[in-house]
Amino acid sequence: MDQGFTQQDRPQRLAAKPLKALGLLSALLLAVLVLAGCASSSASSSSGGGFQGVTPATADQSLGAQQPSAGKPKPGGTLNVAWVQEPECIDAQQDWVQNGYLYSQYYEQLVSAAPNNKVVPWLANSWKVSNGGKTYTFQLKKNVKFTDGTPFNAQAVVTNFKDWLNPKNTADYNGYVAVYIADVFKSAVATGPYTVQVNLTKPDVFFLDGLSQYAFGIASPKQLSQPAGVQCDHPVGTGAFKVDKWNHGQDIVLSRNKNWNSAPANERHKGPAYLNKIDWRFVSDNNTRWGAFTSGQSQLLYDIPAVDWKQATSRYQVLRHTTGANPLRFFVAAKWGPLKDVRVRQAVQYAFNDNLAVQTAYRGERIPNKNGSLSPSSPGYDNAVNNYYNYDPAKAEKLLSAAGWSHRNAQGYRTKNGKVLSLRLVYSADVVADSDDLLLFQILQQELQKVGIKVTLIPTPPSQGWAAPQDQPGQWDLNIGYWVGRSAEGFHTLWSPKLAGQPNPNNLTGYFDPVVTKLINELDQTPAGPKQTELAHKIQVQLVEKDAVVLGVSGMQVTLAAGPKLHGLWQSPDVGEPVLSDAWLSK
Amino acid sequence: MAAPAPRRRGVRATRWLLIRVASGVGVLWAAATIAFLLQTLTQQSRARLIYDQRVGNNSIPSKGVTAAINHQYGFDNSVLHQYVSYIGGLVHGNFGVSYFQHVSVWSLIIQQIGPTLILTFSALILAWVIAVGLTLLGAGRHNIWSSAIANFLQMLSASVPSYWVGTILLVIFAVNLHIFPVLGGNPLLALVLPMITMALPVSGFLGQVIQDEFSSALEQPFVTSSRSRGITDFGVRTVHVLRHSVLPGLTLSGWAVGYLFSNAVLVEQVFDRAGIGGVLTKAASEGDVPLATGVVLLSAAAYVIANIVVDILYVFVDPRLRA
Repeated sequence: MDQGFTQQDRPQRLAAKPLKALGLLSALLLAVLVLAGCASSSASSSSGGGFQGVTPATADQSLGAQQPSAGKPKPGGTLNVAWVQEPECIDAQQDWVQNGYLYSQYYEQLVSAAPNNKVVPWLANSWKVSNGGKTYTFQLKKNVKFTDGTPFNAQAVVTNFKDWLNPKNTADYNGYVAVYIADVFKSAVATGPYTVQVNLTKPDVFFLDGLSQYAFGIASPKQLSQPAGVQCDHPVGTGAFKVDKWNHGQDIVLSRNKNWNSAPANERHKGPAYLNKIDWRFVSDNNTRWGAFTSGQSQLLYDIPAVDWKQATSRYQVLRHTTGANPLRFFVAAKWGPLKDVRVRQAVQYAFNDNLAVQTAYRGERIPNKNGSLSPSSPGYDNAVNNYYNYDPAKAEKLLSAAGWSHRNAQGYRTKNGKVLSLRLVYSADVVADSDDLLLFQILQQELQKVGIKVTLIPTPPSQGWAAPQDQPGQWDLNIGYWVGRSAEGFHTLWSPKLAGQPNPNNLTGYFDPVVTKLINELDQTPAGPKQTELAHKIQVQLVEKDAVVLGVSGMQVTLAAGPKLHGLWQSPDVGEPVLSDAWLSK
Repeated sequence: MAAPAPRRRGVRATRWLLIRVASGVGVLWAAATIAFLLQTLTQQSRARLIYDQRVGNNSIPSKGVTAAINHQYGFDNSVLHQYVSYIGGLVHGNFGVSYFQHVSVWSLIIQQIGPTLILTFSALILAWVIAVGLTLLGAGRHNIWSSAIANFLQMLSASVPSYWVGTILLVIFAVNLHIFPVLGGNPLLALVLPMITMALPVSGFLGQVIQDEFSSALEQPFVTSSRSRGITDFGVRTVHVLRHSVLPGLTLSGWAVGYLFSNAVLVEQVFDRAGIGGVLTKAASEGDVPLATGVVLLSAAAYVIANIVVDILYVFVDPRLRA
């Protein structure tokens, strides 16, 4: 059963293809063709009309204007980045994906993400899987140092694993790591100065996927020995850049790690990064961020505002990555209220004109996806599920009447025994939903009103997180969210009854179907191949077509705009982080 | 006959000052108490909040972990005990520790207070310059500076939201005309647009009250007598009349400091400036209660101090109050 391999796949350089001034539509078409050609997993990729008849585009793609050829890369210069969210701490313990883009500039993982759920060597040169998939033995790179001078070795890796998974050590405990591996992790042992053996309690085919994610960045053991207050401001990794200074409320200044010798196998050039410094500014206001970018003050913009999408794709180079795992979707309350009846849940699916809503709210920045159980970019995505509930208000009306909601009141809302068919749409303002999302909710509200369903929008303050009373069981009917990851490992994250030995906090629906649980257990132990795809499809069919416990909206698109002076930029297939070690500035 | 008067006057002034300071302390104490109650009564589980934020919002902490956090932050003590130690801490200048950044609130505030103070006071000065300038040029005369249009513009500037003004100024002068930087750049240049944004509404308010007072003072007999003594119109307006009319402006400045301080929250956001505003919005939206209450207390303190200073200034500007 032993399987030794060192993968050397390189990511496709889609960004380098000579796409001449392709508009959004033709880029979409291209992506569709690419996917139709390679996605053996798609059950049907050309049924129906309009957007819903096609597989949503997902690949790391380059849209908009192409950068003029600028010749050979030149080292030096300061890249001004206009970012959105400022983390409270930057030492990788807070795992919102928006923080991960920053961490990726100074932390490195054992393995690096490559397209199609592959991984390639990074801090580990090679690895062996043995013991029926329960033991992973990593051979680490030698002569690598953390930027504080501490040597990188097997002991450092073991310290990271131990601290990540010790819930009592709140300074170092890593909730995201725990979600991924706590259920299977047994031990990490240094069996040689540069050999680490990780033992699992049962096989987990997504283990390496996990390790390739930003939250698994290896920190200096010296950093981990500090109290939380010190670590918060002073992260230390082995990466291409190091943190010089954090001016709270303003920016983080990063500088090149001159001794960087641990680049991942999919790095596109050898040697230290080209850029001297990165000024990573936090500009939450959309107008200001866009203004800073268009006036040339910053050369890299994250999260293109929907209103500026058209201008961005016509004038600048735009990169877009659709993250894997769980896409943007509503949880649908299957255990209480009117949605307890599966016919009402299905009616909501039919009544939601997702294409129209997403096009109107995001103006092309996001791509509609009605399969709310899995992101279109994940291998194993079932496009038939995406097309299952094509917009059909007549069908919705029929289902609602059959469910007993046949009377209409003076306002046109359906009633049953004098009760109005009314749903509460709860969203966490600013954290999960911004103004673009709010527009989408309003469109959903109007769509459902047409078939006689009343929807009330209820924002919760960001300070309450998921502990808001409105998010508790019985208090909501539709709840927006997403879980960014790489692929079908996201099923375990959301639909397993238990996670890291505790009741699963990521699933607000309370829906834990024994059939789904069994399928997920099987999936987690089935290596990539037709069998895995079949299992993934079965889970999607169960969650969306049969039980309708999620209502899909779109993929989670990570968008970047690059100014005319910035070259060599690409997005990691992990979660779309900008890879700045290959980027350089022209005069 | 004249001997005891100065001493009594000194005693009276000291007593007056003591009363003002005592009432200021009272206001701060009330603010601190409300802040404390908000902390303890509205948050369901502060331990859960702290834990969630630290580990990434996706775990349910075990009882042992929650107990450890409760103990570390003293949440397991009685509310009265927590209140006494909170107020006691404040008296010693201890504002507590940020839940999410794990360092003292005071150090976080000190880091960010400078730019906000600079913005607040430069905006206040600019507002005064605009208001006094327009008054000297226009009040009591019939020219463009006293026209209905000028008056309307003043009302308008007092009533439009600064968030909107800021965005418009930014788009015109920074994004399109490139006269000022959108982000950062030369600190003096970067100050200009936010300062104007903040000063405009305040200058509108100031201008309205100063001009009213100025116009009525112009009709006072002392103006006629000054003129008859041969003082120029400019001299009369700047030396005699202005001194009368700035009094209501001073009163308003006490309010303006508080207004500017809180308005900085929005303006700093628009111009992406460092400052206390960003700290407050972030702390309040994420539930970092000690940090948010620290900033709120500081704003209250700024308000109280500004009003005491204004009261003292009054005495200097208006000699009648010295009696």
